[in-house]
Amino acid sequence: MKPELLAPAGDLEKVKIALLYGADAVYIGGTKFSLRARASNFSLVSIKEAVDFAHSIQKKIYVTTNIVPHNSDLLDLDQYLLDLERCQVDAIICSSPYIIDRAKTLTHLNIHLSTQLSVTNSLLSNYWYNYGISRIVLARELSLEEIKTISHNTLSELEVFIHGGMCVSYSGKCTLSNYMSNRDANRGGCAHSCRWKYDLYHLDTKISEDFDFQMSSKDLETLAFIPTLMDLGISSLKIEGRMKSIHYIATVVSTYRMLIDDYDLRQIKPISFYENEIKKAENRLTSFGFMKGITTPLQQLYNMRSEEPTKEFVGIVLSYNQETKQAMIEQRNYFKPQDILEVLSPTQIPIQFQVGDLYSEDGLLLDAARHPLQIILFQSDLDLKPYDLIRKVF
Amino acid sequence: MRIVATLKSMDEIEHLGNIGVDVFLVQTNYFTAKAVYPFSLSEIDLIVKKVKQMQKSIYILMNTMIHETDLVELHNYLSILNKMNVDGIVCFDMTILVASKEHNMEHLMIYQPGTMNTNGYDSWFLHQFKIKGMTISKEITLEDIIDISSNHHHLEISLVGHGYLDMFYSRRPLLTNYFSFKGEKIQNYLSSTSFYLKEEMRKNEEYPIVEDRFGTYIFRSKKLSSFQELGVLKPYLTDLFLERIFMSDDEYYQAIKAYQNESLVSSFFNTYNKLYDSGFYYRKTEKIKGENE
Repeated sequence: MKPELLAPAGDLEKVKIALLYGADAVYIGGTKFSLRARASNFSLVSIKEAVDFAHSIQKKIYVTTNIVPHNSDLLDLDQYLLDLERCQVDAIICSSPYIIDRAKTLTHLNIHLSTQLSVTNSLLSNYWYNYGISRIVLARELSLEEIKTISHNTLSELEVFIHGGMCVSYSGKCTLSNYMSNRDANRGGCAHSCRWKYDLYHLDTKISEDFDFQMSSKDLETLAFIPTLMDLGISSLKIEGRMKSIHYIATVVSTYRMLIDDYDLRQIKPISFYENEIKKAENRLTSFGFMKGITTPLQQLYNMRSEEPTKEFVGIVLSYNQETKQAMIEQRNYFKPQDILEVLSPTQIPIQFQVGDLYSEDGLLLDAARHPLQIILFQSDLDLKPYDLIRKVF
Repeated sequence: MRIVATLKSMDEIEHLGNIGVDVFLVQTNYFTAKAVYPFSLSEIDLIVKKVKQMQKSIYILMNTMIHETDLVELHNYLSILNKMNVDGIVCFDMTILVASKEHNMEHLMIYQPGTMNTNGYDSWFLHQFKIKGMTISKEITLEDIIDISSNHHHLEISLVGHGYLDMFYSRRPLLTNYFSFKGEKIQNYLSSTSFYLKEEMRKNEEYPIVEDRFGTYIFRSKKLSSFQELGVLKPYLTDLFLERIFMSDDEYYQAIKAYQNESLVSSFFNTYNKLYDSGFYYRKTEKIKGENE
């Protein structure tokens, strides 16, 4: 059986993009009880809309209720859990015993254990399974060998992070942000102090140069490990990044979707093919995290290096008229007539084309698509679909 | 309320006992992270005997994350500790609570995860493990601490109330990786307490950093003191832990004495005040920037 591909989403558009581009399930945060406070803007109405959309295409929505609550955060929890059940969300992701126990008492919601609890062994995962938790999200500090042993010894479903940003500390164990900026890392306010620049001293001697001691890690990228994770029977493969763009989500999700399906059909391409697809989105530099064991300098992000995407996202298709062959797109970045563009589609591998004349919504000929969110029309022989993404080839 | 102090050497037991330490917290060569004064199993045997002769108590510190490959050693270690007549085991990872059940040792466990015991319900949840106690998280307010402590459920409640508290625990060997990246040949840096960080925008603050075989730890720039809050806290707490790392023996001894004798607090502060703060006792953290304004 193929594992679930689980993607993040920070708003409804991203939910739809993630699901259309191949995710089996999406996790979102409500306005309360969720980490990533800045990325959590789903009201109950929009949660319900997300669930209805997902269920209409036989997919799932999970809601994060994963803060480590202080006393003042406990108000209104019961009603919120009942509301989530009424919205028919497929699971909640928790780290607090209080939230878990209230959900068990009041609802029939499936409960997944958040990586905030940093489960690193089968003894603890089996404890939580027997406590009524259907799925454990494993800590991101585990090697493939450790994941392998845990999966052999555990009873619960396991979820493994496969792509995206990583905490530098064990999750849930860090209060850098609390102490340095008063923002509570375990209640959704993390200021990412581990990504700031530091100087290192030994006694009175400065060892570093110009604040080049950085703890920041490269993003996780595990394309080469997916076949093994699938062979192990891992239930869910999770992509991180609720604050990422729709282009990032579409690119990363569709690439892992392709890889999972190809491996399932025993038609896997060279890993470099999938790596090149991922590189088309904006990424930090990537590495395989702890997959091969304790990290080395190769997994660290010194000098704040970042990777330029090999493709630039320039627009999203709103509609396509098959009779007139006219495409209507919403602009996201600058492009101009005669540029070589590429279509990223949920249903086929990327196809390149040269764009001709560009027109505004009311028919004015344009020398370029300059304005974000501007509606742009052009002729295309390709049969474009709503939610296809258009990107520029350099 | 008992004073729990970290033991540095066998020779120190009598002195610490005499200045008012009730419980000796012992770091070992097994499952103790950032251990500056680790003891062997045979030494622990002797410490137990000596401490019991003084009618004091001994806790063993187990503050590493427990990975899958640690499970066999964990059970072996608990079996040995079970025969040692220790009074408590301070554990960071909930795995140890689960494992202790197999050894009928739940009654010795004090759950001290650093960050996760943050609300009044946690003691109710932990009560099902039939453990000895829990240590309240280090990033919450005095008001919340009192609220949690006054509503606990048959658990001993403790607090780490003094010294440099850690605020970060990574499995990554961050010093090793950095030195390797820079091509620096630095000697004897593992478990060294001589390194610290300065952040680009906070150049007056020094954050100690330590790496050992379990990972890397970063500490607050100021030591926490609880002298001013002791009167309020005392009725609620069973144990007050005093952290020792990065502290001179003299400062540690003076702090222990001042927690017994209020009249010594001002002279303690006259000597050491600028390096201390009140942590989160009066600082409510925010979920979103500006929330508390």
